[in-house]
Amino acid sequence: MPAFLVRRLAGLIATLLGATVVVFVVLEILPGDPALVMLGVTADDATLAALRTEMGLDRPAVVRYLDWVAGLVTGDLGTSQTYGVPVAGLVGERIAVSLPLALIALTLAAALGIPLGVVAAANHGRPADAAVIGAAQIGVAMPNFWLAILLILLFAVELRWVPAGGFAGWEAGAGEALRSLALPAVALALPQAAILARVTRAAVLDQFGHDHIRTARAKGLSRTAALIGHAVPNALIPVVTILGLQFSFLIAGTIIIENVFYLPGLGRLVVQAIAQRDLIVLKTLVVLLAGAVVVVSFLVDLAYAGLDPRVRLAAAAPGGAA
Amino acid sequence: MAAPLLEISDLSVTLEDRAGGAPRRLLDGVDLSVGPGESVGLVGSSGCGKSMTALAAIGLLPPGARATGSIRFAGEQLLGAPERRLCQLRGRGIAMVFQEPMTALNPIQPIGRQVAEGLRRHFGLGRAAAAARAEAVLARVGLPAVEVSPKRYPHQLSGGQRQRVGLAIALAARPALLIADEPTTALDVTIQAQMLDLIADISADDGMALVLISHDLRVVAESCDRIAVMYAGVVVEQGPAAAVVGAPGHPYTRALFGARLASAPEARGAGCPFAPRCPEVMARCWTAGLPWGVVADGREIRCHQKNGDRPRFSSGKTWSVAVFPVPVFLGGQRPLTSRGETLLAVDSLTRVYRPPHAAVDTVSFTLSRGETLAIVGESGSGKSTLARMIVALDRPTSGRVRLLGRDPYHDRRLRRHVQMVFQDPYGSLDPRWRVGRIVGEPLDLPKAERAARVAAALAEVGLPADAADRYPHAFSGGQRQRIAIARALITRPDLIVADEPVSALDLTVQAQVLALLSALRATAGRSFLVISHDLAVVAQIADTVAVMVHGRIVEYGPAQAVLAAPLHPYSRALAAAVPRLDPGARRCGRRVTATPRSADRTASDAAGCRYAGRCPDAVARCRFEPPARRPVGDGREVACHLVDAPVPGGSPGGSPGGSL
Repeated sequence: MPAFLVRRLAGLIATLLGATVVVFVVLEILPGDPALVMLGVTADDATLAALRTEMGLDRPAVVRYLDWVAGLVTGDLGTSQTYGVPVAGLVGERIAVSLPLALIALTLAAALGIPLGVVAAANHGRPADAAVIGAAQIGVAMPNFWLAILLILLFAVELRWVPAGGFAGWEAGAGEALRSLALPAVALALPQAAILARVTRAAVLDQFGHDHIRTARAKGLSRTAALIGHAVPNALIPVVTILGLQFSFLIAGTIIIENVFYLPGLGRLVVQAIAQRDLIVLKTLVVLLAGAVVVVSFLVDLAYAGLDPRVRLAAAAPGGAA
Repeated sequence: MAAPLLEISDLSVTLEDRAGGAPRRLLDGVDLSVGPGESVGLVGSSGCGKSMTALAAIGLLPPGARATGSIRFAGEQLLGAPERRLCQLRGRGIAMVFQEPMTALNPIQPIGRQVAEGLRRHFGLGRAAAAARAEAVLARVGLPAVEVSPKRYPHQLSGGQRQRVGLAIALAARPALLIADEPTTALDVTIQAQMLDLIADISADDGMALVLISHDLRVVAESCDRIAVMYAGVVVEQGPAAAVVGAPGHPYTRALFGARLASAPEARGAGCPFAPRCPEVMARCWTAGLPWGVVADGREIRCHQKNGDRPRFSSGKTWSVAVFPVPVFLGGQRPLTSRGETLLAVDSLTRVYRPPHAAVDTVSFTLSRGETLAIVGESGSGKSTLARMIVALDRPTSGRVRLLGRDPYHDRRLRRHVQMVFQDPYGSLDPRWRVGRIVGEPLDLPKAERAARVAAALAEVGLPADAADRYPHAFSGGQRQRIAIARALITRPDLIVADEPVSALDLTVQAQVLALLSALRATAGRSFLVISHDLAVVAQIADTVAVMVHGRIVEYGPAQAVLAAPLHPYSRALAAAVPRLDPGARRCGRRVTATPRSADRTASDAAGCRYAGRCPDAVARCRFEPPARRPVGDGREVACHLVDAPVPGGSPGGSPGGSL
């Protein structure tokens, strides 16, 4: 197991380094002067030269890259061009909104989608199954920003249970903060829950066709006991794959949803940084988002190893388990 | 006889048609009874309803299936019984072992827990108590915890070990009746024998009743007190094993012995299901119902002919050809002295996947034009790897393959001279291509010419010309294998390599495909290399036999000599493990099992003979000195320290069947 962990961790670090190289190359080396991009085509030469010196663009690319990566590791990310504050503090503030939002949404999606999928599979061909499939069809088809607007109209405008937008801040207390995040999380989670329900249902039904379920029934297990004890644990393997992929969609989703709900999160920061050509903030954000996706796929790999002994043992003893 | 433990009477099962057509009838008035402690064999080709009968008995029919009639277990009616009651009986009253050892176990649960689960369910045992009992059950089926930990997962076990786990799961709650559905079909022949011994031993010890389902008459004949033969959802003959085997009454039973039938039963009308194929069909067979006729020796036969009065065989020849593994050679036996031009030379061929273990280890042989060589061995012996290197699908680690004096791996033009036929006729044909395109693909010829060559190839394998316009799914397994053979023939190769060409097929269809291969050998100059684990297959088509164990050829020589009097201990074990039509042999302990119980454990001591760890006759020398292959007379070569005396006389030893 440790060897397996070491190998996966090495892969993780290599992928992250690769991401920084791509981001650096795209934003700084490709044709187009970053200083010119930031100041616009109307800027005069003196201002451009000053900014180039300030950004260190007169130094060799390799030096700038190493400097930047060292900054990423130590947390010294430079100063935002538009906000005039250290990027680290700015990003940290926004993470405190976006990370809880994404995690709540993912938890909600899993807590809703997986059990519904199991219930649908257990009642295959019966009304409960049809109801889940129908609801999932609607959930998959509905864009989350439109769902967000409907949720605001119902829960914020009509019922006045939660605020329509904005973020109270964690200083105002966890309750208030969570109230602000409730609607955005639901808006993000429902379409993902619909996808998860469909995937889970299909995976459990597929397991039902396997011979080992017949073996379990022949032992004397009831249909439900075979479902819970044998079909569902096996079905979770493909479900976890989808769950990992969904995290990337959730991150993309936050960019839209945070704008609909006017939340001061990473998603809005990305949009603002692009609009204001704040390249220093932007490259940090892109690496951060890429890092999140890489870390999640690492967690998915760990989950595989936990769920499936074939993965765990093959990884522990390469070539040993034939 | 005591009151039957399981009594199935007039059981019919229909399966609703998903396309909305009329329901299909899978079982039609099946009668079968099993007394306490009795063993009953249920035989028939695939699709005859054997498995369906078993699934009905434990109440696990597939969705959409409807059963009518009566199934009584210890007097209790099971058809229509509440699901709760059936759950109590499954595992405790009636347990079942399934055919597929690779898929029948939950891949993500330790085997001990899978065995313990039934114990916890039926006896309400705690986790620790159930685990301890499970360990004892696993030890009983030959998987003691010191050798195979109950914490292992199915993928860490061999096929034979997995099937033992399946058996342990079934035996855990000490059922009164065990139904074993083709428990050995997916296993190697030496492991088959151990498995059948084990099932017979345990059922005898526990006084457990046994229903053994098989398509292989030889398997049930050895293990069972009584035999029931099924055809197209009807039991057509049942009676004491000795009587049924000694004098098969129903024409289908006799055909099963001759094994010369197409497998898939056709849709049937009112009369006898066998009528369309029966060589002795009469007018009333088509319309009148099927009466049970009782014969003096306790047998019952469903046939209008009064066969019981005059039991006879349809033909003495077919009787022995396909069912018995007796070396009866269909083609001309060509003496090795008149060897022709060397077509294929394999010299010190070695393939290493995971050092230091060599999948194929310094294998050498030559194949002459027109010769058929069979390579025999269990799975994992390296025979398929060897075949892949010969057809240049795999690259040797060292050693040489020379086809027509050149290296097929580097000389692509040579590849038209060697073609391969694969084991699985379902997976090896592209389902989206028409047969004509599949067969004609290798040809770079004008359309009309190509069509003519395809038609000729199809004709050669006995398929109609219009087969070219259809898709593979329209064909049965045997027909698909004919298509695969036609595809191999189309380039007019000098060498055809057939990797287990019939092992995915029913026994009856096997015989047809083997007859085809045998006939194709007649074409001048065409050589065959046939890979098989089955001696019965080899006996029918090979001129020369090479026996492989753990990557090495341990015995090589003329087929007749090797099969009639195998010399190497492994060859002898292989020959002894082939099931024979010997009623009750297994139950009465008349049988000699030449392989020790541990044979499914791969023991390869790199220093000495690879087989030493399993060899019943191994001496100290075997463990440190690898035996070289050397001639022992009559054209034979053996790699064994214990075989030193040349075979006397030089004539192929003994009468055919003497040792098989």
